Amino acid sequence: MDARLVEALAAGERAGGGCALLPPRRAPGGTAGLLLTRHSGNSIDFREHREYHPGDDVRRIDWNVYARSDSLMVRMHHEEMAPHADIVVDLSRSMSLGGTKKAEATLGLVAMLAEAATNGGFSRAVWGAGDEVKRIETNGPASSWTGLEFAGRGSPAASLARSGPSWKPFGMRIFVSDLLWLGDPGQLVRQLAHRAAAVVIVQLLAARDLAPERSGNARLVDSESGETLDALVDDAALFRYSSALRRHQENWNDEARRGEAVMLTMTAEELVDGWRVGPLAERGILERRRTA
Amino acid sequence: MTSLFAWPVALAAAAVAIPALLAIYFLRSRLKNVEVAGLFLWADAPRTKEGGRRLRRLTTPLLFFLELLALVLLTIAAARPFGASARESRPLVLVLDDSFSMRAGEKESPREHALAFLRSGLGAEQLSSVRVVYAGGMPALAGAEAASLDAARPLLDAWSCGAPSADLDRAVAFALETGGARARVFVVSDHPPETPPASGRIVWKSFGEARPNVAFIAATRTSAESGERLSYEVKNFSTGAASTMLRVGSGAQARELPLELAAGEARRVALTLPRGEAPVSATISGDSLAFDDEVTLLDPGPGEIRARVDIADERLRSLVERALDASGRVVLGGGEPSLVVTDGDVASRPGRWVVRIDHAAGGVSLAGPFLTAGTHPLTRGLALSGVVWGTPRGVMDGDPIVTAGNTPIVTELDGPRGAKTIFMRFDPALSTLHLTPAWPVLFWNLVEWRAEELPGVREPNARVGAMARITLPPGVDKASLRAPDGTKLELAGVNGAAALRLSQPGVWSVTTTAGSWRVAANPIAPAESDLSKCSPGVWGDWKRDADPASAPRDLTWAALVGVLAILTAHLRFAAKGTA
Repeated sequence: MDARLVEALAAGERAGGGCALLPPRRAPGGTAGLLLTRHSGNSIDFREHREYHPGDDVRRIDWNVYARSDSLMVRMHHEEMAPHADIVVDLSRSMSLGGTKKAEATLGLVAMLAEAATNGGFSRAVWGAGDEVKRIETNGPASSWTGLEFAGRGSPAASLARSGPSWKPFGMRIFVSDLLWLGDPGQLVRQLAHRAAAVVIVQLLAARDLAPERSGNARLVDSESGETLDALVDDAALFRYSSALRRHQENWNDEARRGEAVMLTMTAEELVDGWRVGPLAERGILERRRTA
Repeated sequence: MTSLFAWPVALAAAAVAIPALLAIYFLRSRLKNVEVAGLFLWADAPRTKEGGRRLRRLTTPLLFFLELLALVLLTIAAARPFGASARESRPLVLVLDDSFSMRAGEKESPREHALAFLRSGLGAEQLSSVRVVYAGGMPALAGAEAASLDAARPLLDAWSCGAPSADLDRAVAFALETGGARARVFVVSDHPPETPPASGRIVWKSFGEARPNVAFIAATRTSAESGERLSYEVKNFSTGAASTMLRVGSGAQARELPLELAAGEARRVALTLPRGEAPVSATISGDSLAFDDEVTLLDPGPGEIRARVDIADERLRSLVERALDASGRVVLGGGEPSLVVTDGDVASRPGRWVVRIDHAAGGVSLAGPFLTAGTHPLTRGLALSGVVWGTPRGVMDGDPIVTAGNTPIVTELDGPRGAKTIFMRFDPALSTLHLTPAWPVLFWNLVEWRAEELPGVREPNARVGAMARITLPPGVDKASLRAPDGTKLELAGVNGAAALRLSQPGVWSVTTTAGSWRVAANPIAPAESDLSKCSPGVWGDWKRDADPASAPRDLTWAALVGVLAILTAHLRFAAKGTA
């Protein structure tokens, strides 16, 4: 593996070391409304009280509290569960777009999420979706991971649809990709959400994906298929590109919302510049760990 | 077509401009590879190859070549191109001296030499057309335009050299005007030009040489009671003495007179032959130009008119008769008069003119101012200053010829078929006119006028080239003409007269339904008979002549027009390409 990618993995791992993966409060559609504990425990332990709302199980009313405070409070308990995260990374060639930090950011982000998952008490699995989907061996430090080559010539949606990886039911599924392929986003969202407790879709784009340069007459080469298009990349073309990208993202957002998945877009160059987890934390995916 | 540039260094700009255009096209058409993550997002980007590869392949080279052509033309325009015609064929006008001196030397005459020269062509000169002008007293354009000298040969063969003079300057001017701005003029003569041609368009070639010659320089014939009086003047134009034999008449009446003439001597010989109406020919012999060696003199005719004075007033009749008699050209009485002077009521009729004098009493004396019709035959040399003209009162018919103030005193009224009435109001008792020279002048003019208007040839003996005026009889408007060489022509009369140019020597015959007349044309032209100044030579050079059509012309405008056209086409094609 390229040294810069190894360094990116290590950097991501370091960044993830200060964070913990948080389970989302609501499960995606189709998971029967399961609530996940925020902290794992050995039994059904008391966690807190809250006010009674109509519909709450009356058996959970803490009558002692009622006696002392004359208010109905319900006892809340941690459910005993073993949380799991499947982190799926897009290994198509577009993720290592030349002249960008996309590859470094992708691997760093995966390492960060994996480390955060560990920190959050999640069991985890990292899946690489190239021309085929395979599980990445993640024992040991992230810098020693292998099998993360961006060589896929098709979309990860196609390879996921073909391979059908054995994701753990009711686990958290995090998908890292640029989402730049032409196809139905709903298919992949539905596949990710199937029997999942939560789905997070991180669209990782290079700055050049978001705002290409005006390059005049150019032969545009698709990084995956190698197809070409001779176009005049002027202001008008850039405007049309931005419009198309915005529509594409809206389609993904719509499907993510429909599948009750969390979706956010990150910029590779911004991510590798300090490996800040701010955007992930803002969306409730990670939290910074308190240090003693 | 040869081309030149006023500023050829500007052509070097093409060495910069054309590679620059090529570089622009190369750089513009070269595509930069740009890797993108999702090509589908660029589906709406404008293609560099709009309309498909095939159309692009056609359009772009066309625009390129248009721009290349425009650049080349701009460079040419910057170099200010001039176009000049290469040596091209030009029209030729041949001016042929038609005077009879060109015949001197018979087989070795300038005419023969000139014809031989012209038949051999004019060297390497390229001729687009040939016109021929015969230079006589008046230049005459011969025939139609010919395509070459060979085609013009009939016109050369018809070159007769019979004119008594050649106004070559006038002929050259005529040739230049006829031929146009590009025409060249070749003058054929037997003598040098008075001044060498100033224009390079004119070449003057003389084929003549100085030769001895004796010629008639004058010949007259008058009729008298004693016989026909003939007068000849013969001159030796040679540089040495010459002898010749003057032979007058023919047959038994012929007379021969040997003449010994010193160099340049002119001698007059007068003879009287018995009265007769036959033509009298005279010849001299023994020189190099036969054309001017013979003259023919016709009977000049009586030269008189028959008149009748029919005036009752004795004094007036005496005044009129004396005035008519003084003219010497009036025969009073006997036969049918052509002129009647009367104070009565005699009517005019065809062939008869009537002068009606009104001298009724009770008139007034007029001292002028007298106004005369300036060009009228009756007023030639008529001076009325100081004259007192007594005239009866009343109204006059006819067109005024002489007026005293606004009072007509002499008028004329034309009648049918040559009849004419001249009204004159004149009272000798109140006048001084008859005491002045104006009185005989008036009647002389009257007789002269009447004589001129009589049918026939006014001057039966004329020079070759002169115009002979023929008065046609009343009611006749055409005449048949036979030239000395037997050629027959029809002459149309205008206002009762016909004019004839005597183009060849000899006796011309004019015949009408009412009579016939003859006129002799004699080759009397001292200037042409003098061959001493003839000499060969060539003057003028066509090489000095710049063809106006080949003058350098600025063609910058043409290049710029071409650029505009190309740019217009470029705009059109480019608009199509981006539509």
